[in-house]
Amino acid sequence: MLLSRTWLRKRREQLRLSRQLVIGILIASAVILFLCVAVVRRDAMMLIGGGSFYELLKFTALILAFLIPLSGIYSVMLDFVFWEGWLDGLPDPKDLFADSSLNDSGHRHYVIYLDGIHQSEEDHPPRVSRFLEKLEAGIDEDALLVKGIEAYTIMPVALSSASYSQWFWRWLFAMQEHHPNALISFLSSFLVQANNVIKVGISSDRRYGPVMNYELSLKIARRLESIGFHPSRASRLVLVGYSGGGEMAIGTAEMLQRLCRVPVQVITVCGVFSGNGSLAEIERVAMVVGAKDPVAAFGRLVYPGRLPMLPLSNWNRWQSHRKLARYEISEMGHNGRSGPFSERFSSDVVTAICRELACSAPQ
Amino acid sequence: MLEVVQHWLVGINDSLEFLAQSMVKMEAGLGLLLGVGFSMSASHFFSLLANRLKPIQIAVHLAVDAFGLGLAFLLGIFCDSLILAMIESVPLDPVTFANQMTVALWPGLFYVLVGAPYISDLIAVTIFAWIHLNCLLLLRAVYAVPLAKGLVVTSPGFVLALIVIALLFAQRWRSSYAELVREVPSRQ
Repeated sequence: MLLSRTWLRKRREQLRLSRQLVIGILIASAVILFLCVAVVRRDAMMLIGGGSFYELLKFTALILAFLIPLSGIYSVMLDFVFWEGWLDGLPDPKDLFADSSLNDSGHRHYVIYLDGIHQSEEDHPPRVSRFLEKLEAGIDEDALLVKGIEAYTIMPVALSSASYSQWFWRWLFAMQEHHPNALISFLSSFLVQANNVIKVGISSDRRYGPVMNYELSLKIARRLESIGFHPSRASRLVLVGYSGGGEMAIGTAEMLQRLCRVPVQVITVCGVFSGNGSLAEIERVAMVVGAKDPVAAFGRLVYPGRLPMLPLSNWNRWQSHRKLARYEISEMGHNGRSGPFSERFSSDVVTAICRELACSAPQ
Repeated sequence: MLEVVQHWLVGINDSLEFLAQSMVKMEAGLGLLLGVGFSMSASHFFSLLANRLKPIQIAVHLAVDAFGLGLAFLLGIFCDSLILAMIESVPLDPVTFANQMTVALWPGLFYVLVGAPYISDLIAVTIFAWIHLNCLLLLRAVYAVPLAKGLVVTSPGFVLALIVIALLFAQRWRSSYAELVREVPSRQ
């Protein structure tokens, strides 16, 4: 077991390296192409103006214009099929926390970590695991860190075990982990991430968000129940969401508060979130942000509801009544060597989270 | 750089001309109108599904919405025909005009993609803008109305159609989703 985990970690490191290599090669190719265009401009202009290039471009754009919305609709359809109860596994919330004597964990605070869109299975990548170990060591003794929740699936089983599409995900994960060609591994990993991005989109959509967020809240609540959480013994839940996990945390917070009957607070780390989620009953949200995080900055453009120019948006209305805590870490980016899980910044992020936990602890 | 921009502009102009000529050659009538109506209606299929309607109820809702949406567009086209008769002194013949202009609605066949999460508004705006552009191109190709003047002719009818859609349908779809939002917490 230990051997296979070590081997998996090694494979992930290799994959990350090859992914960085592919990105490096792509950037280098783009630079070389740009230089070539500059040198042989006239020929390049003829090429760009040529019919075949246009045809290819149009064809690709057309395919993408259909493929992106269709995959979104397919993903929504699965959520609604689950909601309708046509797939097994949607529990009745009345059965939650029915027996208070079962399996007492002895903790009062539950810190639930929701990973970013890179998550493909319950186990976190090594860098995230190291960060979570630090966080676990930093939080109080009566707090429990809950990890390994798949934030981008609503089913009680992992993607690779889902009855309707397990063959596809298993095939994709196998390609991602084992394919000798770095480009294919990268593309497989890209597809997994695209699925997670769509889920972030569904969660932030005003039409579909409530259903998906409800399903995810139920999944988290069931997990909490299985590790000994009971409303009569706990004093709060803290959702910590990294990147797209921030959207899932904000989306599920209010529903989780109702299901678990304890106050819920949210901490986003380099969060990319819309602020469309229902937050009326949530008292506290904190953001740990990197001063040099381009992805989170881009997220604010993609989700304009968070821009100050729209004072009547859901997020801005919430902010006008409640305090948003903000912890900025200078020089921190979104991922990689300057990201929140790097050796350089992980301690700062853990300190910020622990500070927020201490500030907001119920008396 | 200027050459490239000019080249692009010529390319865009050629494409628009090609689009206009293709639409003139196309024969589309009531079928296209209903197709667009069904596509728009189907884009909000999830609101019906989420509100626990039976399959027969869902089918009736989709059909009624499709007819209503088709009528909304038809109303807009008739409005255009009236304005064209007033401004350009084209003899008032709404049936012939509708026969010629209905084809402009073809991008609406893809309105079902508005069902996609988060990017739905972008898709909807693109499709409506495309339909309006098609109306302008058809007016230029069939009645020799310049694009700027075509904007004056088609805009009121287009806005009228959008208002009818917003009042009758968008409001109902929105209330369906709102009902769903209310229903979700009551499940616990």
